[in-house]
Amino acid sequence: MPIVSILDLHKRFDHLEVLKGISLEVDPGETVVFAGPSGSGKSTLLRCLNGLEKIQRGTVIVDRVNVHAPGTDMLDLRRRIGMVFQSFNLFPHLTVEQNITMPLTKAKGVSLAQAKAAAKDLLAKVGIGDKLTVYPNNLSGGQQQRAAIARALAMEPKVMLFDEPTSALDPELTGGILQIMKDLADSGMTMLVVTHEMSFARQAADRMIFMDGGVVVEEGEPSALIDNPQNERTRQFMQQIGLK
Amino acid sequence: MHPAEALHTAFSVFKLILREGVPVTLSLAVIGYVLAMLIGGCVGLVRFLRMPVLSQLLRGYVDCMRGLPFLMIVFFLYYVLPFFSIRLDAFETAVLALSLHSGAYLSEIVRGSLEAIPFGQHEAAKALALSPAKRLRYVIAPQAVRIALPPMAGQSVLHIKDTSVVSIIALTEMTRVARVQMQSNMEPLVTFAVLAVMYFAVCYPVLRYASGLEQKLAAKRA
Repeated sequence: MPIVSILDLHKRFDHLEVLKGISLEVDPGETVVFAGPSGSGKSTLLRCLNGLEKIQRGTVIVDRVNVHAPGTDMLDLRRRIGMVFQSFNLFPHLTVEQNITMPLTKAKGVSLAQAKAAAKDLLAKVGIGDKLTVYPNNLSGGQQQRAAIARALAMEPKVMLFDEPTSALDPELTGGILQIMKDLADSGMTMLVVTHEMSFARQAADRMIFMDGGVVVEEGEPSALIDNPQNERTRQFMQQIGLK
Repeated sequence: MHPAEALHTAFSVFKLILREGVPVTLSLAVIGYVLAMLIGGCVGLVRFLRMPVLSQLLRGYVDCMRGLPFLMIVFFLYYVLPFFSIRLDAFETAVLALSLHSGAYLSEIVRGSLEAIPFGQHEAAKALALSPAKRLRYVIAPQAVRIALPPMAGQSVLHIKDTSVVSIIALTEMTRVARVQMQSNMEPLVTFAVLAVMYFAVCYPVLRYASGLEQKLAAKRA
């Protein structure tokens, strides 16, 4: 049974229709990469999954919860969906450790001692175990994104959403983040990733979905989509980003 | 006038202002500003949250306070409220006028500081399953306070200076004591020089504190 089901999703900003009827499913443990030109609606699609955006039509079901139904307990839903942003969005007034312990204790009711243990463990896993007491502004972009990933993982989500997690990073820093994400994918996490990193798609993704103009244009096995796109728009995009 | 004589006059003016004016001025400043901060915090928060109806009403209040001369507000409260059977003495009227006036400006500082927190902070807090109240309490407000504190300290100087206006409704605070003294000793230069130094001695440290705070908090954010 799929953990994410999207059926005929329509999303409009005023008069601009950004998503024009998206339907797709993601199975537990699957890693799906969303690619496409900017404005194609892939980030918006991700944000509809945890209710950061409202939708106009269609159904979104995540972990058996109908996200946009009137009575949905959004807090309960969001505890099960982790999200990593392009701009990290760490809380600048809290240390790296507090960035993890605050939501764990306040939103999930975990004891402070347990939260601290989780923070220590996860920060070590993402390679910044020595930065517990540091404030985010004193970290590099790559370190900030590592902390943000640890913060999302600390909630023990069933699904992880990555919205262009390496787009704001210097090229030499993206590799480390992508490696963490690949390890996470290998460990069986369900991941929906918006990215332009085709190497990541090839190595870590089970499936790639190419979007343009608010619709799914083409989907399939990542290498097939990158090396041998069937649709003209996919072909153009792959040429533009310099692969193929 | 002989220098020794001037010094003597200055000292007696100083003593009188200190004894009769300073307690009232400081009471007006402290009580008025504490109330102003309560008003400013509540009004700023309500307007930030865009609570329907209440938000619009409070906007009207803020616009009135910002768009009318402070002296007129003092007169209005002092002379008009009794017609509605609301009787306040001069001190109560002055505190009310000062706190309503400063409160409006403070509410704009509070609202602006809350609105200055980037959208991404709200989104990250939402995505981490924090409730609206917890997002405000643990993510938005703590950051907004750091932005609001320096201008709030600066605003308190304006508040202290405004206390001199209420001498007009026969309240014996520093400025009124000085004016009465001047009328009997006929030494405006010495009298108002003493008054000026006394106001400055209070306001200047607050000004320095505000700019120090600004630098400290700016350094922390960088």
